Amino acid sequence: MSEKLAERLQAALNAEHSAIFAYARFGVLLAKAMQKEARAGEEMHRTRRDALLVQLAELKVAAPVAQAGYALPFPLTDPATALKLAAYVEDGVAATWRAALADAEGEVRRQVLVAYTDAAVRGTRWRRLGAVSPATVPYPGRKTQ
Amino acid sequence: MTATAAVAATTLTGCDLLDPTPDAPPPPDALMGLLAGTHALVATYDAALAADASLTALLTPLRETHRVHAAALDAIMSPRPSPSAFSAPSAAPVTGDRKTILKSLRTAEVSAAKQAVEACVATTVARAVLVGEIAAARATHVEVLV
Repeated sequence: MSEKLAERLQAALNAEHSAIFAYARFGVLLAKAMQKEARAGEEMHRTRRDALLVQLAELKVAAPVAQAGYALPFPLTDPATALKLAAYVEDGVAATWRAALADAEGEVRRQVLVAYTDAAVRGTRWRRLGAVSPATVPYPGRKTQ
Repeated sequence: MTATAAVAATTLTGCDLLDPTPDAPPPPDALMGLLAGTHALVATYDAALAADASLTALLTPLRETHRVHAAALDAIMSPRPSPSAFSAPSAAPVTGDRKTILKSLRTAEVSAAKQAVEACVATTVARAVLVGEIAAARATHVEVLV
């Protein structure tokens, strides 16, 4: 287990912490029909966070703790900005997991890929629900494309 | 995939230290199967687009993504695949209504995503990100094929 992978997993945990915070903020602004989707998304990030806490403890690596608050990239005012933030958050989580791919091997890489793919799919779903077209990108989580 | 494996096995058997065969072609790149699957997806989308013009806006960016992936894979492979390797007959014609077409595309993407996941787990460190991106992108396609 490389030091680099430990750093990548710590970064992933930070991303999951901030996603959980963001979901709680934007979830309540969404239309009723979409709140179920937001709860499922938040639950996924909590599950991922808990798994990372266990994994980092097993590796005897420090686990970053959640901050009391995270700065949002733009003001949350209505369902439209809530949907925009939802996609933004998932893209950020996807980018963090994507960055861990090359430092992981075998089954750990598979686990990283599953987390990366989950975030990419959820980001796509939020764009679809927000009627953003196209909702997909050629390289999910890549900063410039 | 099976054909590629068979070729690789044959090449390995023939690679004997006491009997080097310098003229033997190098074994195909390990990502050959993934590249073939990518070209097959492009052909499947070609057939779907030909079958239902109302799907143009939805399917065109997805087909373009598979084309971009094919070019990216092609660029890192060694030996470079011959351009004629994938000019085989295109996918079977797509028939049925919009719902049927979308369902068959979802099935193709799910299966192609699984292929890319296995390729990502098995590939080298240098290739892990690109192959992982391809796996994730295919999964996102399933999300919009509704």
